[in-house]
Amino acid sequence: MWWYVVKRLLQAIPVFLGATLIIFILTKLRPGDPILGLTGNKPVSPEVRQALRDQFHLDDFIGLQWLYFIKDVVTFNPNFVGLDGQPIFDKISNALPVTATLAVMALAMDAVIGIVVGTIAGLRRNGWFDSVTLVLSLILLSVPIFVVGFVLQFLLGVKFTVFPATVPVDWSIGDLVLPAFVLAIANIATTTRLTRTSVANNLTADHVRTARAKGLSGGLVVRNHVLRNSLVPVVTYIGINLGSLMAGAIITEGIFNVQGIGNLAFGAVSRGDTPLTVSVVAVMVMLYVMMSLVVDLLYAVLDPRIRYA
Amino acid sequence: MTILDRGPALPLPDALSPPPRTRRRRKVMIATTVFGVVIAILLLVPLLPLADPLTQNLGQRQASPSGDHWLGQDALGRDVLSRIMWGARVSLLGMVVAVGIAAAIGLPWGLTAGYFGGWTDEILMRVADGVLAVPGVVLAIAIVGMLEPSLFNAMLAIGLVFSPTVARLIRSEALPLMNVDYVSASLLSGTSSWRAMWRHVFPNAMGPVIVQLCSLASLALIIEASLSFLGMATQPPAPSLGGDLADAYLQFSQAPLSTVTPGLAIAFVAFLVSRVGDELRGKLGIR
Repeated sequence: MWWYVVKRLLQAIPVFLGATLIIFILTKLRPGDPILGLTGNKPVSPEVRQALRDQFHLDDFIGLQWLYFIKDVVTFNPNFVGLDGQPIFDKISNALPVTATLAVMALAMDAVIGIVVGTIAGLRRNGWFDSVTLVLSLILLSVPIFVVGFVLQFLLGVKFTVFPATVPVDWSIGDLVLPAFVLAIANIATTTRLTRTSVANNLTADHVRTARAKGLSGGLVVRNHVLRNSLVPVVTYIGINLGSLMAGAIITEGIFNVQGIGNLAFGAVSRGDTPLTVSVVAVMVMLYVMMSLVVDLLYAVLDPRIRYA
Repeated sequence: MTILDRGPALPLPDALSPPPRTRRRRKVMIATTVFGVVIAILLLVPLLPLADPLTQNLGQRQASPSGDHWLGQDALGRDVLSRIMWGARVSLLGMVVAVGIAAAIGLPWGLTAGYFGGWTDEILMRVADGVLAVPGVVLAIAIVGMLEPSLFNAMLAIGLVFSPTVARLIRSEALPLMNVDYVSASLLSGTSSWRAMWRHVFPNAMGPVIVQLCSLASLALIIEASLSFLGMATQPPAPSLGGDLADAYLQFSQAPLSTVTPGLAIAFVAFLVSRVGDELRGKLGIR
């Protein structure tokens, strides 16, 4: 088991390096002068220009620039600054808590609503509830997140003031309920469909028929034999989705004015702030890798047939 | 009381009685026909008697629907229906480009990895993992930022973002086909590895990929709208569903209709594409 974890973490290193390199190259290839970006398009003397080029290693080969960057990230260098001269890790540590809370709340909503509704639909396959669920989930998957976002913001935030329309800087969990729900909507639809299909397929499996033949009650059969096996693909989807929730947060955070990682990432990419962009992506990639590992380990809990040597 | 009498019986779906074949076929025809009609209408947009989507009429800003303007006018007095029709046409074209790019890159990538295995597979799949590890929207924004905001660049970005997903799926479908008799026989008869891969493995691995491409097409529409909403795809004043939504968002409380209609247009086309994908899944017998 531990050897498996170590092996997976070692496999994650090239993924992390590759992902950061891709983003690093893309942001470096942006047209425009990075020095003018640093100085807000104000003219600078040749001496200052050269000092800035030295500070950010801009005269070095791109691969070497990336290695300097990796060193700063891995050692959590406190002097590692973005184009605006602000320490990058301060920015990330200020923005990460709100986005992490938002993503975890969205994940919880996704898991609870998606699994419950999907299970009921799967148990009553081809009934009216199943049909309504399938159509509704497909509609939710088809509507862009920002449309749902500002319709709900207007209705629940402005018109009926059930939730705050925007998230204040000194946010609380209550302020994040509406943006978390908006963020979760498309994922809830997918989780519902996935659970429904998985439950419906497992209902006809031999082990379920055997359990029923042994005389186990319907509830026990569903809980111990149907659900447990059905949740393997669902857990995969929900777990891996933490990364996509972070990405989806770019639009949701924009609509609800959440000062989180999504807003930070969009601002950094738009400005061509390479150090900040790649640092934010590095955080997202680390989360993705960790969630992949957690999901793989959860398999063994859900399905006794899966064991890691 | 026998052991079988304990507890209420669990309702089991009747797996042995699928819906009649005729009914299923009719359903497929409905989804496909509606989608075909939508495509036909959007292709014929230049020939339809629509107002110019770029013509402004500041005296008629946020005007309600009327005989001349069926869906009203936007914040600059432009005809909403006309802008939706032209915008949807652009989005549909973009969707085809994005999925085409994803397939053109992803299929050879995944097939090569699955067919040759070993280090080739290991390296190509680690690259796929690296791309998949970066959130798609961030990667798309970075690619568009490198090139410059435009519809084609946005679609190129979306295609590149989707390509590892296609690669992984075709690889997983190709792997079991490596040692199948007809592939071995083809190789023994002197066919080159590349020819065997494209001639025998590729067609037999394509079923689930076609369904996946429909899902990606639907997603491409939504991401394109999102990028336009963020100002990274179609540039104003050109009509675009996402861009028009971004403009209308600012006037949502005064004129909700001008916001809801482009949103519904995106949802309707994305819904149709998803339905076609679902019907294909049923027709090809893919779970």
